[in-house]
Amino acid sequence: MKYSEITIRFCGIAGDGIVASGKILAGACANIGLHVMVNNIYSAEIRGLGKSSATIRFSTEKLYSMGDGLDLLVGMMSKESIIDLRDVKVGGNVIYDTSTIGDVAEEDSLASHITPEIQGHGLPIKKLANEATGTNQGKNLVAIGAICYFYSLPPEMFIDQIRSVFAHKEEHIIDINIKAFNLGYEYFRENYPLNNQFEIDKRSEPRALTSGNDAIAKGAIDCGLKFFAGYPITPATKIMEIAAKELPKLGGWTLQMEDEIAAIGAVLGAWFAGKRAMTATSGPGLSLMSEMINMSVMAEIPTIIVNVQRGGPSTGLPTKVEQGDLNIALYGGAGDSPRVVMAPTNSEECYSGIQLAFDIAEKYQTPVIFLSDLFLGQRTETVTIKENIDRNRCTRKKPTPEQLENFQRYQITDDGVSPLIVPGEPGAVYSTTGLEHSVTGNPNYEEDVHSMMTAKRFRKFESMVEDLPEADILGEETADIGIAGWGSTIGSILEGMEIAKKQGVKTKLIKSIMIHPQHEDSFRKFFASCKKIIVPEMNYQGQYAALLKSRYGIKPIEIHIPSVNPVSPLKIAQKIMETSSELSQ
Amino acid sequence: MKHVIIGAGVAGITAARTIKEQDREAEVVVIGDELFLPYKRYLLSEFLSNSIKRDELLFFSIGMLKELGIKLRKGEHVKTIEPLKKLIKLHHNEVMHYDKLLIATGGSPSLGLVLRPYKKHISFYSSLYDTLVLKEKLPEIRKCIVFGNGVSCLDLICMLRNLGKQVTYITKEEQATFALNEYDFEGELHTFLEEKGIEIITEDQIVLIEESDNGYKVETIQQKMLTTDIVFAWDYYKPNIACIEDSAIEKKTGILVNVRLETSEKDIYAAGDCVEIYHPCLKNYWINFGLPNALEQGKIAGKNMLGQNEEYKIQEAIVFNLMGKSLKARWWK
Amino acid sequence: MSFLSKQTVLDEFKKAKESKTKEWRDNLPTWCPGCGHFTGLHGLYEAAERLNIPPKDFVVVSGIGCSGRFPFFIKGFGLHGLHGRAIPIATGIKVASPDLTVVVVGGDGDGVGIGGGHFPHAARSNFNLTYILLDNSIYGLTKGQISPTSPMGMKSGTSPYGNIARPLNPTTLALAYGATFVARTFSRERDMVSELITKAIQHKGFSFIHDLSPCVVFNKVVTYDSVNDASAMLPEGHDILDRSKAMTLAESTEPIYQGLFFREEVPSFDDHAKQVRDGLKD
Repeated sequence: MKYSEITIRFCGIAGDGIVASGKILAGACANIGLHVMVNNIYSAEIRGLGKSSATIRFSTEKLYSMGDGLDLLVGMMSKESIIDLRDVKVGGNVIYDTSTIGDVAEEDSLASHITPEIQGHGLPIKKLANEATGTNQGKNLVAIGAICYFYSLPPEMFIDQIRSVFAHKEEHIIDINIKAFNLGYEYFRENYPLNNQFEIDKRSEPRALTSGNDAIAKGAIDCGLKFFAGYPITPATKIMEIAAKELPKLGGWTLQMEDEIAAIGAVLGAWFAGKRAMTATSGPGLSLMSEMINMSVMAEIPTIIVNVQRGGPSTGLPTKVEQGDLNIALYGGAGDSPRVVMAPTNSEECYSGIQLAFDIAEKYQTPVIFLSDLFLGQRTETVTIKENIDRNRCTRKKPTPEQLENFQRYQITDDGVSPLIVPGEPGAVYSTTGLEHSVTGNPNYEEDVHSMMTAKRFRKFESMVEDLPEADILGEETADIGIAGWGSTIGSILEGMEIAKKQGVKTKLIKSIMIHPQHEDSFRKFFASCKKIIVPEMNYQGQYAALLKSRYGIKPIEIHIPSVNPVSPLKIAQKIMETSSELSQ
Repeated sequence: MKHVIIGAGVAGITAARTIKEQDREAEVVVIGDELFLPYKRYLLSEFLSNSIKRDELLFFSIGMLKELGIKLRKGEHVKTIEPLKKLIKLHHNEVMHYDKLLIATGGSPSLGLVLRPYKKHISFYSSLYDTLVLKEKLPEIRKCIVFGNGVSCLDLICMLRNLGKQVTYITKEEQATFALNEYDFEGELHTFLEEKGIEIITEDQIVLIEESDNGYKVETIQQKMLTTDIVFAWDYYKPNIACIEDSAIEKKTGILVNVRLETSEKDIYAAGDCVEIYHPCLKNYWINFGLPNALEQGKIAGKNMLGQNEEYKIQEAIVFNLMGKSLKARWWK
Repeated sequence: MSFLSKQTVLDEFKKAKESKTKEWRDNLPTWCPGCGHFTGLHGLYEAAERLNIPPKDFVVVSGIGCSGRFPFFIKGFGLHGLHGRAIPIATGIKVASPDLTVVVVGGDGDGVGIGGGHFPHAARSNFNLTYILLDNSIYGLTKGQISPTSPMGMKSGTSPYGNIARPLNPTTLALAYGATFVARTFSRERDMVSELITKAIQHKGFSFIHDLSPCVVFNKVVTYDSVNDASAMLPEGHDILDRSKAMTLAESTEPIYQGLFFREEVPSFDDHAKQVRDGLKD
């Protein structure tokens, strides 16, 4: 078989080097200029022996999603991998370990569940690893060696990668890992000499790999993050870990707080003190932060909350993806409580988007909720990151000398933005409050004051639109079927559109990192040009569809996927095809 | 009732089909050591010479397996059998229970002591996998050496020649007979092949194979030094019975069975190229290779595994086509 | 202590606007006449004056409750935050801008009720904050419900048959949480309050003042008189480095000791953070 795109999953338990397998394979592919996307899945139960898997998709073309199905499943552990067989494509392959110690019951044997549509390949993974390293370490490299032969990939790309991954280890460690790789390679060459061809463009440049969480942390740090406060929560913790490591080097600090309320409280404090600060959390944490978001709205203290969505409600599905937090992000909290909601669609937007979030938050003195999700946050992908973002596009509105004279922290202005000073700056002092207040910040509950102040707080959201990016419109301009999506689902939509295109059905897509506020005109124009509108998203209610319906008065076809896995592009393509045949009737 | 069949060749699959056709409730698992769906081995040469397509080799489709409810496990083999516990153990240490077991592992070309050290230089052509590997190599090949015996050897030589390859056949015999001692035109075969341009070296055998720059150097017992692009060689065709080595199942060259295809152990049957059947008239065991035998034995084994009582009748002869001539033979006694 | 009329209180504060602490005086307090919180506020003015903290560098953070209004009465930066959340907000301010003087003011409900989860962590991290807990053993702003420090048996709108739970003792909590400066004061004793708040702000690390500040309107059980009758200064010669002795004394209800229970000079959070940052420069 000839391939230009392959999806491989390693499946096993802690100690099998599953995540490392993904890293080595992804790193090697990125180094030779392939496009790569990696999705790791961990079980929520730690147990020391919890199951984990790493899925690696690599291609000569740009990738937008994890696609549909596996070309190869590597089952390092027999029983744990059985359920993953259902993801293997017809004609796909499985590698299983033939050298496990002790007997395996038929029902627990991976091989016994392989159907004739797919092909199993025995590989004495454990035995060869022991032969190479003297321990079970190197199992993953045995498998990678076999994969290398199986798809006729150049062995050097892996050898180089092994050298760089283990660069900090002794030469001996590198040698035994390379030996493990070679043994796997040789075993397949001898026992399964008929292999497949993967086409590589030798002229490609190496590509950078990042995860959404990494990109958010890096983006924030690159635009002046000085303080991070958080509380560990899957799948957002990685952002905090990066901040904890990097901020002290830059004169900043990261605090692990006692809960999410304290985390967002400290972030508000840091912004009050004039420093760029943020927190990162997931659904349960965002719920706890609701009151502090209200405080941020009322006191007009900027704040950034990254919410890496996982399955909900409640503690929900900590290690599974869902886009179920849009409603709480948009509406969670008491009173008339406007906030900016952004949702990046890929790692590149995680990097640039978080920087925009900071700029908007600082200029417009507002909370910004940055909605990533587990899939986007944890997956690794090859990216091109734009680092030349204009640092001065949005800045804090400082008082003029006249304004300082009789300082009004909540001065009524045309754009709704009042001058802001921070502690330590000379000229004036002020107190702020979560109570309704007059222009000076003193508590005030008069009707006129409340309506004036509420209007002012909302007015900022009209004026900020000029600083926001326009929506992106992709696909065929003349298409009758329009799709609107958000967040990481966009990747699956793009690939679904591609599948439909190959079947002769044209579509177009409107996407924006801005969920609220949006450039509404471009959305209105787009929707007006569609005969049918499809809104796919990973939640049961159709939260984004509900927003679009109320905002634009459209009646879309909604695809609700209360998902635990990234959306299948095929599923979207099917809906497009259905819609297309309805249109042509 | 769980019927486990080791071997997904004609005999094994026929038995599986027979069982499921007669008893829908029976559980049937077929374990085949090849990576492919059951195929018609006897058409491999046609496939190799491009006269048929790959899908025409198919003997049993996924649809048929599903329809009949046969569970096929490809690319796996059985390491040991424990008749007392009614268990088999697969190559990856999986342990499987059976109620009735059929061994239909077939036979394959094997190397004797002299050739065994050169195994990695020798090409085989007895499975689809070998054939696919060979098919990739063939366009590059000009000169072939074939050493071996039996009808499949003849088949190979003819196929290579038909593809325009230069073929040298080495045989221990005085003439190229391919052990087809009872065929209709004895004596003519040697001449026939030579007329077709095949070089035949008689009363000789390969003793050494070495890799050389563009292929292999081959040395014979008569100290002939030959060069070639590819070497096909085997000393004999042998039942595959490694899985019973450590068990109490009685065997000689093949697994010994009676005419009901029962082995010496209870609930274990054997059929096809891996068996030696007791011939009541000859009052001795004999090996029966070939497709018609396999078909017939598979059917009988299946029925008997379901508790019926069928006896195997010796197949007298088969007919095959040799470069346009019809050849009728009963081979391999 | 006798009841002061509202006019008397306001007059006094107007006079005080001309006093040496006028630089730190802002809006007039809104508390009830006779409220103990006046003393705490006065103490904070005095401390700011004694330590000469420029208003621009002075940040007072409060939660919700009668004590929550502190920031509006003090000239400096103020943040009237959420109920129970003053400590984390103050933490963010102080860690982000270590040069500021940050004082947290809150009540008993705020500090050991709704916000009880934050207090231990600020204390054990030894953030360079001063936390003044004005304890009136009542929810005054909601007009008189039992608080976490209300005595057992106390009746209120929400405990019509008497408080069943035992009261928390914020002084012992602070000691147990590892606070490095722990004092208890009584709002009748103006000088002591001013003195200890000043010392607390000077302290490098987390300083805690448990100020007994009776509610003259809603609390009929814990009153100036009841506290006064039980009050005693800490014994002469109490070793302020002895945490367990401090704990024993703090637990006592008869008498209720006041004064500086405990103080230890150990590196504050700021010192640790600086050390880490300096280490990373090499």
